Amino acid sequence: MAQAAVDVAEDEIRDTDAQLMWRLRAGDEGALGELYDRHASLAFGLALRIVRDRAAAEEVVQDSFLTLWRQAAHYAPDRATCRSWICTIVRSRAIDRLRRSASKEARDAQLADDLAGLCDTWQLADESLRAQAVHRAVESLPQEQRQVLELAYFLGLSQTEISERTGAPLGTVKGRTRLALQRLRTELAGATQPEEVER
Amino acid sequence: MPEDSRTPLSCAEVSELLSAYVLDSLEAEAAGQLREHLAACSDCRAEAAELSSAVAALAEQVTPVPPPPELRRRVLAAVHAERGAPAVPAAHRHRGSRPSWLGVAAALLLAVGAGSWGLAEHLAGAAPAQGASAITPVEQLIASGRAQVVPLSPVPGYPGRAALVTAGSRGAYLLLTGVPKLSGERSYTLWFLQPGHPPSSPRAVVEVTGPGAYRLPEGPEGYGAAAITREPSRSDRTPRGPVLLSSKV
Repeated sequence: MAQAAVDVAEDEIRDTDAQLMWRLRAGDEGALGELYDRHASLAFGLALRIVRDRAAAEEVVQDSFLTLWRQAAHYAPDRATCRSWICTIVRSRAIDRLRRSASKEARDAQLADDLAGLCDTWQLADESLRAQAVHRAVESLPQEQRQVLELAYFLGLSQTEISERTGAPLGTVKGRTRLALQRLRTELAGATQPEEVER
Repeated sequence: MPEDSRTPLSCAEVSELLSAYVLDSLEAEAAGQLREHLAACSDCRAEAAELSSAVAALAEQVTPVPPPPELRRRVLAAVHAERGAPAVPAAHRHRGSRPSWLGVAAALLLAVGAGSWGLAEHLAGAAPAQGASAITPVEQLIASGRAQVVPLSPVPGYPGRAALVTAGSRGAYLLLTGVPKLSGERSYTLWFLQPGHPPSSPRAVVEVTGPGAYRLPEGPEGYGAAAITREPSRSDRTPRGPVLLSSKV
């Protein structure tokens, strides 16, 4: 019985993301299909959140997985999980596309939507533990710090643009960005470092 | 920001700007200066890596949205087109498809061998499974001081450990531990690969079903790399299962 249990467990073992990345580096297209099956929904959700257009989001996802295929040899598992790396690629491609295509008016309209829906955005957390942890960490940030993260991450705005469009002085925007990310890192690491007070 | 754009940034200045940098929210000129600093400062690079992981976590806030089914086919077709290979229907792709051994061998030969795995750990895992009669020659071989121990690196996340113990004419052994015992036709297969471009077909050296110490019919001398896969059926001379452990030899 014990042997049978071991065998069942062995059957149920799926390659980890890291193993799939290793296979990808070896030129195994099947590994790309498996990575797609695991992460395409998050990738598409992220792309859609940034470019706000299904056709454009599909192109971003396709381009991103092609990049994953091409760049697999450069993946460093000690620096990021495969899932994080995929999201980084998707976000970068989506922001590039947004910056290329969106007119200032369109981005301003999107900005207004984002400012209005800021709280809703953060409440749309996935049920996974990781998402819950991120959700809690982001929720713990002061609203003005969450805002600069939102505008930089999802809209790709520069610090100067955030300053211009929110009316906050540039130095304040930079300070909020720094505090927000440092605090987010601390929260996600479960550290209990003393909080730095915004200047 | 320094007034002179050519003035190198200090670590304190970099620390102020690093969050905006990893968010890709820094203006181009400042980002360029910061990149120059990072290229020369390992402390700030480490700080940037930590902040980057926090940025990456922000994606988890997004609600996943299933993409249209045809997008998967388009993605895989694009990869095929890039390789110049004929398209294969998506239905024919499945987990465990044959690895590209050209790529595997190239990766193995480039990989840095892992040397941090201790000898005691080799033996602790192997001895109980195989018994004294099998392990003793290996122990003697190692105790003689004439054996060479080559650890095989597990793919990230894989719990198993393996090493090759060789001593010329006195024999070669595979030590395998931390892997589940297999039943039926499945096996852990050790492969040796020749160096060179393109590499030769991999040679199946031994097929085993669980942890232990195993005498090999030949040593790795003359080969460039070794790898262990989990094969769905025995006596198959072509590797089809996933690579679990590997090293150059």
